[in-house]
Amino acid sequence: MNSDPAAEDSVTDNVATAPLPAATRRWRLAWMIGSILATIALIAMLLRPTGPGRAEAAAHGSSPAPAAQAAKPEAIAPGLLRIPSGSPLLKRLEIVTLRPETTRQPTAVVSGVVVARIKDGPQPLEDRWQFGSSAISNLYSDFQRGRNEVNFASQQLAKTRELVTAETDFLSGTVERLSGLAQTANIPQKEFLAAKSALLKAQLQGEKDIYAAEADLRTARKNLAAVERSLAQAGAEPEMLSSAEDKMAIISADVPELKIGLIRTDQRCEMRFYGLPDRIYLGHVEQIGSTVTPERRTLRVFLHIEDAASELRPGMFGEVSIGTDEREAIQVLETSVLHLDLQDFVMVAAGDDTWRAKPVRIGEGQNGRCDVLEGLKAGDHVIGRGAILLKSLLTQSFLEASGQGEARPAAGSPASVESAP
Amino acid sequence: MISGWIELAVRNRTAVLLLAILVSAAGVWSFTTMPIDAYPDISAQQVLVITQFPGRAPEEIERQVTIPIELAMGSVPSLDVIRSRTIFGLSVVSLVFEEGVDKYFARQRVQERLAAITLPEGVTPEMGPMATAYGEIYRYVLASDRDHDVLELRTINDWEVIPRLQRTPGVAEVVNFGGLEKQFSLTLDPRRLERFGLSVAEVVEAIGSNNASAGGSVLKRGDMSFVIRGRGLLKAERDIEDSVVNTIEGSPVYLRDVATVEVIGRPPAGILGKDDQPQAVEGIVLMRRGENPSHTLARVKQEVEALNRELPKGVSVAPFYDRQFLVDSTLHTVAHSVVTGVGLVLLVLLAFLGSPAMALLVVLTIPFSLLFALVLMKATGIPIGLLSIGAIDFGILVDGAVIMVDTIAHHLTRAGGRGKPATTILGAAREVERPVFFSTLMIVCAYLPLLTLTSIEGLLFRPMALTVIYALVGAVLFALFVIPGLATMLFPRGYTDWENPLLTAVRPAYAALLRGLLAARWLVAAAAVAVIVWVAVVIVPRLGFDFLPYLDEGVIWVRANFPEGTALESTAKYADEMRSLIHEFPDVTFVVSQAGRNDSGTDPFVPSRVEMMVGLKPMEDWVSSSKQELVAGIGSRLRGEFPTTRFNFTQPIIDSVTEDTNGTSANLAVEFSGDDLDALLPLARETVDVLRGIRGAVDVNIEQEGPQPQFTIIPDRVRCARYDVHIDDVNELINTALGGETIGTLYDEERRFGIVARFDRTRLSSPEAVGALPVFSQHGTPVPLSQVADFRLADGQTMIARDSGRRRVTVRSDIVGRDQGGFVAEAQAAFAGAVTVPEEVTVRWIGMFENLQRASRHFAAIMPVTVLVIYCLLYATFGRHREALLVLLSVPLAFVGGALALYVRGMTLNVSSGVGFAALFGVSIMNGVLLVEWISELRQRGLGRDEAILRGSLERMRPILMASLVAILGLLPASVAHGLGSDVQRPLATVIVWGLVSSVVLTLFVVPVLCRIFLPGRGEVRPDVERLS
Repeated sequence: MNSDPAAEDSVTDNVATAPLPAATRRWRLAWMIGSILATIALIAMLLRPTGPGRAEAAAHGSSPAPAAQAAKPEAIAPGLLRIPSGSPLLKRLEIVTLRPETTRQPTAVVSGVVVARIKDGPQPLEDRWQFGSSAISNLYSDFQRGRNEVNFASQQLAKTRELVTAETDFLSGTVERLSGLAQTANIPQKEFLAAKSALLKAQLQGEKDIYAAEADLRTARKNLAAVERSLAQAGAEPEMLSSAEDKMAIISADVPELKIGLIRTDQRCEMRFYGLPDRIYLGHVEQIGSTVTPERRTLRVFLHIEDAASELRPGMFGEVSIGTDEREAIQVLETSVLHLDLQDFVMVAAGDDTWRAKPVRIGEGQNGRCDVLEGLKAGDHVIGRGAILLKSLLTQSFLEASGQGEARPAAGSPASVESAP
Repeated sequence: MISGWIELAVRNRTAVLLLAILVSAAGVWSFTTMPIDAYPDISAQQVLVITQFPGRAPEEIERQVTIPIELAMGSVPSLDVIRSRTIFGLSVVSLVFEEGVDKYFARQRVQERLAAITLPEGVTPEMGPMATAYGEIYRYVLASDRDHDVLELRTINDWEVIPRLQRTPGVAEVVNFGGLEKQFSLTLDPRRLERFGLSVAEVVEAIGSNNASAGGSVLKRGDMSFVIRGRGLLKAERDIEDSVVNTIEGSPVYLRDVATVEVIGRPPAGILGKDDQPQAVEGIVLMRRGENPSHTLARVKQEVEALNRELPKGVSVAPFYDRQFLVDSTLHTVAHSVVTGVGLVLLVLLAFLGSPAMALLVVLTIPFSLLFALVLMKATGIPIGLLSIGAIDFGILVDGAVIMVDTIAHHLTRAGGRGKPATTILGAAREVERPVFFSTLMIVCAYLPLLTLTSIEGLLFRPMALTVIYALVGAVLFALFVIPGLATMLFPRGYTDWENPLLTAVRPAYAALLRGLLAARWLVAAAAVAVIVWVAVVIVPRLGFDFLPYLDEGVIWVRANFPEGTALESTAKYADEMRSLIHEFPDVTFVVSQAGRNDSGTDPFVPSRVEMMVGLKPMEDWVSSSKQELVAGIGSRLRGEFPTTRFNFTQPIIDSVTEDTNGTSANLAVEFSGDDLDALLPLARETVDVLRGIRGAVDVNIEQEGPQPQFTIIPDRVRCARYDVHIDDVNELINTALGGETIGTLYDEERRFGIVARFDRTRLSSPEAVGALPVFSQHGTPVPLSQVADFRLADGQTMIARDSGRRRVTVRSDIVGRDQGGFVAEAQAAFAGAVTVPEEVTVRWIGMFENLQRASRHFAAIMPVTVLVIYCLLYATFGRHREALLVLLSVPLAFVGGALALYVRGMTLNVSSGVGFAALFGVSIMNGVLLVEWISELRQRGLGRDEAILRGSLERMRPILMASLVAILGLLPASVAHGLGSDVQRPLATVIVWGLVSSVVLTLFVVPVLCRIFLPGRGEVRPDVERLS
């Protein structure tokens, strides 16, 4: 790096080369001192503590104290958790004691239609039926006619039998009397034989008449049976029509094939109609149909519904809840139930701040509650709301047991899982 | 050549001055039109492919949607990585392109591939908006006076606010979160359908066939023509109710007879809560990539103002997050640092020179070089921000000017009024043009290797390097061509320099000390080497390695994962409680919680996930002493109250950006990829146990959510056949009546609302209730679903994550209280000893740590290159290896101060401090050049070695001290700043400031000793050297 050869003097030379006027020197000194002081002041200002934390805690409040080191919930065995009593988590868990509850939850809810009702009037009950369709009405008429025909045919048969018996008795007596006289030759043999012949004729005719009457009766009964079947198919079981009482309606409901096992005769039921949404009608299962409909694979169930105010009309459609008999059940909140893999669980108190996940089988839910069909008993303390917060810990407890394998809590019946270590 | 130009500039000084003013004006104009942002956009070039497939499980969607899309995209050029996440009803495929790919090119290529994919009917993939998480510049809620429920607010947001804001220039998209989307529902009752013998399909068909308009050409009457139109579209609830479904014996059956027509809110995918409001409606404004945030924000705010005048009474757009505060805070920090730095530079110059005119000559370099840099920044698309303007050391900028001014003062003083001042000034300028040029060139060369940085660190620091280079170019132009001309104007009658008496008083002491050190030179050299070795061996290993310092965004982002399968409403309820807990901290201004995900599908989150944004007061109003303390406090509180919930604490921008770039937002993640999730999950669980045992590990968990319960309906084909039910019939029941699929559209002016037909949800409370629903046979006979299908309640996948065509499971961990590098090393050692990985599974260590490794490798390559380049320049300067090597010794001397400062201040070695070191090496060379060059010069003039060393050191003491002090004090404010945005500057500034301190001390005391040792010649001291003291 070459410099100008003329510039050879050192920097110190220029200090004395041209003396500075005193005033200038004073100004320069003032600038220098002032700037040094200002620099020091500025650096001091920069280095003073700044930023957060300067605000007085009294003026701005203070941060909450660090949460006390409460012991954390932990998994201590498969399906077994410990939640220490001081844990803040507990205030998010609702603990409930199970008690048997009376429930009237139906076992099946299906649709139903009023097929017949008994209208008010002075006529005999059997003549006051109203049906939902003319076809059923005609069938009912046929039914009544058929019944009458059967009655008539029965009566005719009885009368015929009586007549035949009377005739044959009379002729038998005559033959017997003439037989004695013929033997004593008091009457010609011919008269005796004529009487015997008349007796045989009368017996033969009598059998024919009886047979004919029986045939008529059978025919009448067959016809009646056919009408009864047609009536049943149309949705009006004749027996029900026969056994109905006043102020009653007959409902026909279609129960899906899968639920047939849940239906019993005399089960209580409730019905709500679309046209009368604010009312509930009570009744019971009167009869269970004998065949499953081929198209819909449903079983027709017939119900008697009380219609005290005579409001119902044939054809009215509604929803039937079957099986509303009061029964005792254990119910839990739906929020209590945790589902892991293939199994439902409920957390049950196991003493000493521990909670065990018990496998359960639950039924239908309604209004946020569901029946426990298996796995819990009255008196159990269970976690209601907030149980979901324990799910990950529960999963972990099963994982640790299975040695870091897939999280598969023991599936299957509650009993088999209960016995797991 | 430069000498000739200088002469030309001095002769035409007025023109040069005008040119300088013109350039400055251009700089001012550039400033007003350039984007200003706190941090540069470091998000990768990415295109999202979002596909909604309602009602489908993740496994199904993966098979039918995600994998086909991934396969189709495999041939897209310049693609770096393909990742995907599939959840219930949604697939999001993220295509990350290589750095430098044009955004329109990327989207065009993706669009081409999408057009050729075959997906299930009705499934349409869409590209996400041309924005990244960095673009979330404005968030608002629709405030209401409580007369408007969330359904109304959502409707207003969807149809009035969002369309208006989306039309704003610079806005890519506005995303809604929360509220209820208005729908018209035909709520079906199975009994009512049965009553009229109708099926769901008939109801659906009724909507379709009663909702259409027609056009019928024109009707001519005389000379007039009338356009014929048939208006049959559904416009109101009443229209739907009056639609006929069927007739029975001549009597029409209307929809109102079989269903309840009502306005409902579509079951939400996400619930937003704010402060004490459990439900609110939020809008998130996304800026298009590459736009000017300040300008875009200004326009958005203008639109919001106009909207607030036009919205229904009681409803208003209430912003709660605005990027401008970050920009303003950062600008405030930068401005504070700049103003204070410039002030200190001016004061130091005044302290040394005592002349405001001289000091002003030097200080004017700063604004000129800044404005010059702004012009070039605008031309090259670099935004103004913390890491561009905020990283400039003004002390370095003025070094050339200091040398020039000092030499001019010296020459003018020596001239003593003789000759023309202009000639004297020209002579002075010619004398130092080469050292000024070369010293600046060396600093520029020190920054050049930073231009090779890639990825996130490149996006952060390349603009900084370029800005500094631009400013240095401006500074050297000003020093060489403007200052001489200005000096002739300011000192037409000459100038007499006067040294600061303090300095004059110190000289003898310095001389005496130096003589002593020269006498004990071997001891001094040994001590210097010992210090350097000690720092390298003892201090540096304790420093710790991180990737980036904490980039404060001014808010806290909290993520909470509740157990898989938690219902959205329950998650939202817990979010309400968490917001209350966070509000107990007085430093907090607002808390917004997002449970679930938005409806647009850009965020594939499950209902059990909550993300919360916590707004903070200005730092000066805080009670907590640092953000870390506040975050730790909030974390402790939340974890205490919800011990079984997984929490992560981060910030919104860096969280999303690193997730997009690295596939995870965690400091460290261990990724297992393979084809069988059942094989990956156990490995992940083992790894969780390993990582939890490493000191510093926080929030260690598996990133992907675990299995969640699924209620699966499986049609039995044999039973279906028996009942004459087709699988389609079952699907229709599930899609429409259970899933709420849209079956039609109702138009209300320009608004469109979906029409759905579904069963009353209150009746669907159990599998048995679902089983009782009727599915209709081909003959229209209703058959209970349970008779033709089986039900299964079992766990299935909550989310399936994939990377490069394989399923992946990642174990994430944040690192608190120690450096990343040390943590990762320990974790990897523990992992290797504890976890056996099968061959078919691939393991990768990713996250911020990945960036650290890449950056470390890069810096390991850059540093030697930097030193080599500097050496070459030194050799070019001196022409001799010995002098060049001597000067190069300034580098380790500077390193000592920088490393010690990091250690004492508890900082780590990261990209920011690495960049600081690179800059420091260039700057520290200048002191050595000044000293060694002058010593060599004196020796050439005939002085003996010792004499040259002593005299050279004494004579160069003032310029070295002046140049160093201005460089040190210029960045001192940045090294101690604590405001928002100062975190990334601080390590860089610390290294430069304290590195220069050690450099100047060691240059003045050790370099002379080294000169004595290494430069050839007889050691002697001439008596007249004594007079120097």
